[in-house]
Amino acid sequence: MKIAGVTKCPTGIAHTYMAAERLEVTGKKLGHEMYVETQGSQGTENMLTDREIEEADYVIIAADIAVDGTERFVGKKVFRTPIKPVLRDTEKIFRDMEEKAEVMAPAFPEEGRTPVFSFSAEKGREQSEMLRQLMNGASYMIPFVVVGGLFIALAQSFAGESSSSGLFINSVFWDKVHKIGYLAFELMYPILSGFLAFSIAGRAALAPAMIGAMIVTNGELLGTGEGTGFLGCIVVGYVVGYLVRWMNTWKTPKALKPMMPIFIIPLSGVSLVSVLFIFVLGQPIASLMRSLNSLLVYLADSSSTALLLGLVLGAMIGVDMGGPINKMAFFFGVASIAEGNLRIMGIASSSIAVAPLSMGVAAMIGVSRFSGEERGMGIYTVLMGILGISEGAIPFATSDPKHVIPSVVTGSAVAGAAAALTGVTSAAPHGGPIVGFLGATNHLMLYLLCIFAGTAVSTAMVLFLKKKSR
Amino acid sequence: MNTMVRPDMIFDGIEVRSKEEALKVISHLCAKKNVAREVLLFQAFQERENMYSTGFGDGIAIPHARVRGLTEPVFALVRFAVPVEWEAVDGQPVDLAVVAVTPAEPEQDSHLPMLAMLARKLMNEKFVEGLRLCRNRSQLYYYMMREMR
Repeated sequence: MKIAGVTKCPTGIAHTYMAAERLEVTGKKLGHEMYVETQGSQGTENMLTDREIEEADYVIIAADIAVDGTERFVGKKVFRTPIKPVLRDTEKIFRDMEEKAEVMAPAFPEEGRTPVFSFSAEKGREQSEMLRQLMNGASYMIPFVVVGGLFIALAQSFAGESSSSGLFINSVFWDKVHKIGYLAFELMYPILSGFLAFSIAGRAALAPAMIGAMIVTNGELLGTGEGTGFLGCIVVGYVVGYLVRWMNTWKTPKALKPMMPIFIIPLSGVSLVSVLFIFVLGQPIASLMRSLNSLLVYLADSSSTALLLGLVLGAMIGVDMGGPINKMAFFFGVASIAEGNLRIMGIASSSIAVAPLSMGVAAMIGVSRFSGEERGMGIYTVLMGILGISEGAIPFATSDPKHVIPSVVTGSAVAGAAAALTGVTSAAPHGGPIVGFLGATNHLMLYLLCIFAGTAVSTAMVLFLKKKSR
Repeated sequence: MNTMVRPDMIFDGIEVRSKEEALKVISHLCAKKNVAREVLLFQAFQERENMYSTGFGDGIAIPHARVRGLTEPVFALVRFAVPVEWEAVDGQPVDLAVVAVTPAEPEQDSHLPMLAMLARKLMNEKFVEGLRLCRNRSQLYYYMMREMR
């Protein structure tokens, strides 16, 4: 068998490695292929690759404190143990593993999702590391977009009136709601940059990145007429993050050390970002942002290109169910909300629910084609679909990727294309019917219809493919 | 490790009657007459032992800690004249303590890979057997020097 392991102890200098050594040596003696990652005080070593995790029959987590990155093991058979039993009787660990390992369910799907399987696997850590940092920033930003998007959408749908000077809110109460929504929208830029930089270089990077984001989204300060939007914020996050990470490696005199994170780093970080953007990057990024927006609006406007856009975005959402490709399409939608174009998110929201909804429904109606375990998950998976949690489909995809993934991708693409063609919009950076029920879409029935179409296609296809293979 | 294993940090024939006394003596030996450091080390060892015993079987324990404000890592080998009850995982008394204390400040992390290697070595029966065969301080010293290269 192939077995992956993770070890972590409280001090991280001895037992992490002792346990890892025991697992490796004993595992090999028992004829297993072992990969063991150590999360010690010198950082994570022998980090499990996506391929190793994907191929592993079991995952052993030997730890006395919470380990990092457990979301990588969603859908795997995971056996958890403290370190002590590993040192006492390692062979017993392997026996217990086979008896007591449990398939890990996605616990907190919103928290830094890393995929169980990704199609860009092994392309180099650096690349996925940068993507992970971006996603960290994005995941902190999402609640702000949710509040902003829903408040604005609700205010507009209850009290919005078109006038010659644009949209106008005709009630005092809804006007306040509307304004609060805009506040949340303004906050999301600093949150994105701040937590992007935070995930690269820690706390000291937070202030320069957040202030930097407010500078680059302020067109007046930049002198470009309009801000650089989320693109500029991403650049700020990376620039500040790597700058601060580099500054942290400086050999500073002991007396200056406490001054670094509260004084030197924020001041020099903000200064550098300001100069960089006002004199160099502001103009090109602002115009890039403008053209990107007009391109998206153009694509969504004509029906043939809208179809293509919907197909591609929908397929991306479906392909790895909450993994990096999914996130990329999703982020595209979120960023478009921020720029006032709700149709891109409409496509994403519609396709997100297809994977879990169709797998859940298929498991309930195609009884004989699914394992007992999967049938039990049916209702639960449908529920996750309604709530817009695409990770719900991951257990199905891991157990039978050959049939499940093509079906889900096709279904999601259909939902995406339907949404693009009908011009469904979504103001909430989330997916599934729930978004429609909350009033964040422009047309609830059309929205549900798009989801239904995608789900029907995906369900039919997976039942057909599974039947054919038997 | 060559810079970590020092002949003056290898102690043989130390007489103690309990685990607590052992930790006290180890703290004393490692603190090199610095009383403040001795108290710090003893607290850190006890705190670690309270989580669960560092006695990992076959009569060996690895009392260890990360301590703030330490100027340099401390490494020592301490052999007791009479084995001491250590609440080890296999219940056997301990006669050999491999002591490792490292500064908690991340700037001082350069020796951590050595410690990790030592921890892994301690899981190797041959290494432990060889360690047991050493009869005095100088043999212990040369054995460590050779093995940890």
